[in-house]
Amino acid sequence: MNFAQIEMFRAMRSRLQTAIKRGRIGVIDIGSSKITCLVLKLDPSRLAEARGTDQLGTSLFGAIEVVGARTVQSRGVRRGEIVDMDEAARAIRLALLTAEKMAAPRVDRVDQVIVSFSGGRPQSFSTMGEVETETGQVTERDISAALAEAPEPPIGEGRQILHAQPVEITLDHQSGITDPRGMTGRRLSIAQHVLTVAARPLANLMECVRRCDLDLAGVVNSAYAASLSALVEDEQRTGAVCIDMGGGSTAFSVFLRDHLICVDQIRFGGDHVTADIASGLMMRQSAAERIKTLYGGVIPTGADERDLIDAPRIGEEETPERRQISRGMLIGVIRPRVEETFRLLRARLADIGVDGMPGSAYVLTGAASQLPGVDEMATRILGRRPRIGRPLRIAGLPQSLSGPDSSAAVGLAIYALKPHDELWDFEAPRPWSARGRAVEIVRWFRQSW
Amino acid sequence: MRAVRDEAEGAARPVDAPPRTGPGPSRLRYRMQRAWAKPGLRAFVTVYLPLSLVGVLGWRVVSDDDLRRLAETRATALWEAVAARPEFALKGIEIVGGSEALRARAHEAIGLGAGASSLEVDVAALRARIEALDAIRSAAVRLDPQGMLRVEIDAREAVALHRDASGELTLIDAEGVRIGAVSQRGLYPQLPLILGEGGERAVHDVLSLMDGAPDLVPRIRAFVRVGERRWDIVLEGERVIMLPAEAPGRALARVMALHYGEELLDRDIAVIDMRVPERPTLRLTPSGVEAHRLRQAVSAEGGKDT
Repeated sequence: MNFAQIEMFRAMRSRLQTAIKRGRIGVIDIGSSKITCLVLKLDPSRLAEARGTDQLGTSLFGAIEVVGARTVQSRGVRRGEIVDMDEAARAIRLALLTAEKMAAPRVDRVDQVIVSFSGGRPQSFSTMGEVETETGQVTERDISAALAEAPEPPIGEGRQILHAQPVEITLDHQSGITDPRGMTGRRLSIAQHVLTVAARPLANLMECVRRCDLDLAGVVNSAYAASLSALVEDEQRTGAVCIDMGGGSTAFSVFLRDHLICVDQIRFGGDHVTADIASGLMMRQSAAERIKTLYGGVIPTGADERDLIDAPRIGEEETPERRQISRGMLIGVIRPRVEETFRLLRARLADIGVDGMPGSAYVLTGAASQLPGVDEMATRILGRRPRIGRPLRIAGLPQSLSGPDSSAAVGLAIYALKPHDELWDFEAPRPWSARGRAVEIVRWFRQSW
Repeated sequence: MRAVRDEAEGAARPVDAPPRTGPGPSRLRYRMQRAWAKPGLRAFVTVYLPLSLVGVLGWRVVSDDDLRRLAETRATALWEAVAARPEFALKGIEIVGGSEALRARAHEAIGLGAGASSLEVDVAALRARIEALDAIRSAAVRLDPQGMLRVEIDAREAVALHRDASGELTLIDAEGVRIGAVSQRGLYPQLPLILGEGGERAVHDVLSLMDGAPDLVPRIRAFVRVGERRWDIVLEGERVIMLPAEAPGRALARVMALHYGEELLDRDIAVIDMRVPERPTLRLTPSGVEAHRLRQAVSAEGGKDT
């Protein structure tokens, strides 16, 4: 599999290397309702050391420190896609500048950023490539060849690959290999998970970052990013579904044996709940958001009818005799939408066969997972008790960003550091590589005679 | 024509379109702030640019004679104007320690009066000037915040008079340092007179000899240093006690013992030579020699008689 944008991803990787060398990088989680920017200080020597000793990258997180953080209201973004370039760029600039200001004494300005992308209707494919090893022992070259051998899945017109990672490596029918380099075997086959998104929204996002004079060092699907920080390592190994309940959409990512195997999305999110409240109760959007976050819930209780909430109609916000509604009424508005979301989610999970996957944990994260009772609702509909996933603690992370709503931002930071195994991280199998012609000539002789 | 264009613009963006309300920096402002966040540019603007401007201006002033002269006169005028302000005037001079005459001399050496500018007072130089006075061992000079110049003097104490080869009489202290000239020896009758080359460098010998023989002191006319190694004590009546270079105090004590026992110093003796301590030698005066010979003759005769 070799596609047009692979060079673009390779360029992003080299920018990421530059950022790591300089010891500072920014990550920006661009969501539909908020934009979070973290400025990270990296310790390149510790990073290199940890990478050398630790393949899974669990000890990497001591090498980074959050020195600047800022969350701003998102503008010009709807369902994770840019709808007003100028406004979105302004919001990103605001988030970045204020985060940099906070970080100013510790690091200089950041030039490279990793951004998240939650729109573009992510779709997962899998593809498999198989090669004969050249020498009977697997080399990096064989892995590249196997990855390149895989046929490109039918991703469709106007769509583009965002992630392509090997998930299953088989060597002579022996499966479950984590690192085949140096192992003996004849047939190497590598199954890949390919995540595609719509090309145009992605291009818009990249243009938006370019308008902020920033070098793009990576674009990560936000559900993937959220699962990197919300799932613990054991969950990633034994299998887990991370449900990222955002403002514009609810996305889920499925992990099995340390690998992302599927990402999908339902286009309902917290903003839709707010819109339901606003239209159902005839309130302003801001007032609806306020009562949702302060009093909202999905599971009715006996006390609901006695709790009265200020719920002013449009235009009567300032008058003394505002309308009051019971909490039960509010729950009555919120509940159907959340229920619908989970029903859709259940159908999707059933489609891909995850619901029958034994031992897999469900983890709810994202801002909408803070709605009281949402885990109860998930238990009833999905049939398994989920846990609320908070992001991994990394050094210097402010208290305000340690809730489930910032797991995508923290996940981006983790993505920046973890060992990368995307398709474009492997050397391209070119006949005349930079490794020296003599080596190539020797190889050619060996293969030919 | 104009109307048409206005209309066209209005169509592109309606006049009543809501203004962009979102907070956030404009692109230009953002770029400026980001550029300012670069340490290189910031250092250039805040440090190197001003430094180089000052450097260029300074070089121009220095290289152009007219400009330099102008700058110098301006600077001196400014300095003088500031120094002459009453806030900086010296309120007074207070000198502590030493005798009245010495204080007067120190005041003279300072050479400043009340009302001089305290900015121009150089205490280190003043101290050097005061310490240049012979009679002062050390001085502490300070200018207190009220504008008083305070001088503390540690005066040298005169312990002896010294007459050098040219016959000049000076006061010296215990370290042999010259304090001041004296016109007559009679002005300081209580101080011993020291003669001879190198005598002023061994004043402590004189003092210890005087301490060891207090009864002798009223008779002493002078201490004479001989060959820069030993002392002669000249007594009234031109009598001389020659002391050895080693342990002169013990030799003098012996002389005094002889004096107490035999009234040695009241006799007609010109020289008591103690240079060889084991063998004190006396030289008689001519009249003493005469008397001695007479007495010997008389005793010889008497011997014959008996």
